[in-house]
Amino acid sequence: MDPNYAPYVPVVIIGILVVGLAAVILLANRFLGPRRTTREKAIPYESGVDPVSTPRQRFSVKFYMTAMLFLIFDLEVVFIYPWAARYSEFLRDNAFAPIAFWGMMFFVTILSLGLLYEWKRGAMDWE
Amino acid sequence: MVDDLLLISPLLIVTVMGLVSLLVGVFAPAGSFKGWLAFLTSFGFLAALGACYMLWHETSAGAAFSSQSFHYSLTLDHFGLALCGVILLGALLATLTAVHYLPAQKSDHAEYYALIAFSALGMMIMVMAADLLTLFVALEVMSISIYILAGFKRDSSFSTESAMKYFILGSFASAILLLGISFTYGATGTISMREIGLAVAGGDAHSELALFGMVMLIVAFGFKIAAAPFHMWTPDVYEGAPASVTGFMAVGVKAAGFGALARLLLTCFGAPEYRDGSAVSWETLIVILAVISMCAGNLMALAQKNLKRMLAYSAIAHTGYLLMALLVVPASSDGEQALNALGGGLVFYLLAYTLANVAAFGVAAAVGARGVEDAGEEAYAGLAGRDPMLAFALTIAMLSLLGIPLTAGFMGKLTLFGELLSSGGGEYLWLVVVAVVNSVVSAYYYLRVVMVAYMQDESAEKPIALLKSAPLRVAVGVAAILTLVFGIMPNKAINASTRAGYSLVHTSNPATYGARVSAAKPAITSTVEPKDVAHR
Amino acid sequence: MTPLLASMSQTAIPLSWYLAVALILFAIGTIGVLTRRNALVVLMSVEILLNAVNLTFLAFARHHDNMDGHVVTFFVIAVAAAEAAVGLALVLGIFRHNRSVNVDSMTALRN
Repeated sequence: MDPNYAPYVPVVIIGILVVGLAAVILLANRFLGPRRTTREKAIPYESGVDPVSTPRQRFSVKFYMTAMLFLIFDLEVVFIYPWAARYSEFLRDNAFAPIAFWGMMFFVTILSLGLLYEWKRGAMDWE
Repeated sequence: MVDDLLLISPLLIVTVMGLVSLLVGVFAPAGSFKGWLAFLTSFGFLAALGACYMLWHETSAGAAFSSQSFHYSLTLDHFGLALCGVILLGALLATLTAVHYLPAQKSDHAEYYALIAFSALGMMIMVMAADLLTLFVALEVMSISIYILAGFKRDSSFSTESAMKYFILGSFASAILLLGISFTYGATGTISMREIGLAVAGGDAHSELALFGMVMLIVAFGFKIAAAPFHMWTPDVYEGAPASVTGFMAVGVKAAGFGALARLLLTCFGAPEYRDGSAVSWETLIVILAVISMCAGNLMALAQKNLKRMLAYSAIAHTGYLLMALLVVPASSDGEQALNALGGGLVFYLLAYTLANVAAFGVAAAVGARGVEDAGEEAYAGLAGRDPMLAFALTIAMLSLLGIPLTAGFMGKLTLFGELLSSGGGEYLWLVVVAVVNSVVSAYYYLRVVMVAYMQDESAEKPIALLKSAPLRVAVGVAAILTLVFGIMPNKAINASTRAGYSLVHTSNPATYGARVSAAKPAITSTVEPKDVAHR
Repeated sequence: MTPLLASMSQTAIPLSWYLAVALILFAIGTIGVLTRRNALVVLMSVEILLNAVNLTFLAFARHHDNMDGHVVTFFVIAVAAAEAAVGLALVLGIFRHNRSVNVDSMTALRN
């Protein structure tokens, strides 16, 4: 066998064990356990409240709006984080330090203008 | 740093104008007339045009951004500036057509002008981009703004549907573009166009991966510039989008797409074995796309009754002609052929195409203002009797698209075909013949528009719903007059275009620039070695 | 550090495996975009396409041991979010007109 694949042998063994054990338990249950179905047992929530409506409800579009806005602003942080992590190194280079600082300020300003726009447009009003 | 900011002043002006109109629109009272924002944005476009003009004369032929702040992500050359000028001119005129068109469509929102500015910004960065990441982000800035603009009439199912169709195929194209970028990066280990060109020319690239990447990039750009067989979105989107948007979309996206494609191919894959050496060299692919686009666009256009839909197929046909410009290998003054340069055909043809389309879509906006995307024949039948000036502008636009002498379109075709014939020793004579035959065929549908406008009577049941708008008339008039001016006195514009096309040789040729760039820019390498990760 | 993980770090998975997974994902996404009728599923397929490409970028970045691929991936993720926002808004617009998000119901534009 290719020695490159040697480290995966334990993974394969675990996989076989997991699938095998699950299969054995399920099959044992099917062959060994007694089965007497009644109507009460067949419905969901055997000992709970009866379901009154379908669980597939439509969500208000407002949830999507909030999710979309969150998604966009959340992802912008992706650009700020690496900048912040390297900022102390940028400061050591005198020529580059102001560029690094004002570049990010420009970015954040545009982002804040977007936030201002969204706010004034009423995208954040829940009602 | 300040120098850098001056060099990108056209971009900054457009950005600021976009932000200003976005915010001004929010603070203005709801329902008020937003047309004055059009004048504000137009003023911004004019200022940016002025900045481009200044930069054109400031820079020497090979000036490039050198400061760290952009990290070699933008190239400043005459090619980029010339195309920025074409894009800004198109944006300026298309903005003016919208002033009264949008209120007539009951979608007078300030966001329109902001989105026009942002997409123009994306287009301008696209033609200046010097690395594939900048190219991708700029393309997305352009595309996403245009998806929204296409669906700008929210109460119209046509407009929404055209936006959705454009969005699905456009984002699919973006994914293909990214796949191409990714494999090009994989083949060479860099996303900087010049370094890719250097690696490819020096034989350091993994050639199968690079070829795959190149083909994917061409396919993705084929979608964006509406080249057949990647054109299926074009007619629906052109027809469904508001006419003022379609005009902008038709000219801006095409100019930006061709600019970026030309720079990409010449810089990254300018090496002879990728250019015309093997079976899948890009010249072969471009020839195939050009022939299919020309023939398919013209044949389909013959059957169209709707002005906007006809112009969509005509746009596909013109993509075919424009693709031919990428095959031109100009000869410099010392007789040497410059592989990494273009002739003047591309830029000048784009200029002529922009002017003609702005005029045509301006007229479509004026006659279809009250109907639902109504640009069928009865919408403008007998236009000459109702409004001679618009009918005359429409005629000039059609003649220019057809390529009749004394119009810019004729000079564009003449320059392009002439350059293609003289480069490579007449190798592409057959292609020029195909193009000329196609131009002749196109006379049928272009001239029919003129016939309908002049010869037919206005229909009695559905009279022309003509939009009264002074800015629209100014835009259409300026476009028509410029079409004639560039048709009669084209020398200055053609010289500038030739200079623009030739400037690529300085910014894209690895032989002249490669060594300096790789010495100046150390490769960014990971500071965290893979081994450290495992043992931490 | 378990012996298993330590041994893994010395025997890297070859580049071609990552590329194969990515291309399979890309094929799945392409099929989804071209054949699925529900506009939301089409949007999801586009996301699969973009993430397939992200995987190739990361694989190549590791192969070449430079950061360009990682940077591109960040930008792709951000652009994908912006695209998804616009796409969802357009799906809402379509739903408002057609009362359905089926792409086959988009038949207003046809010659």
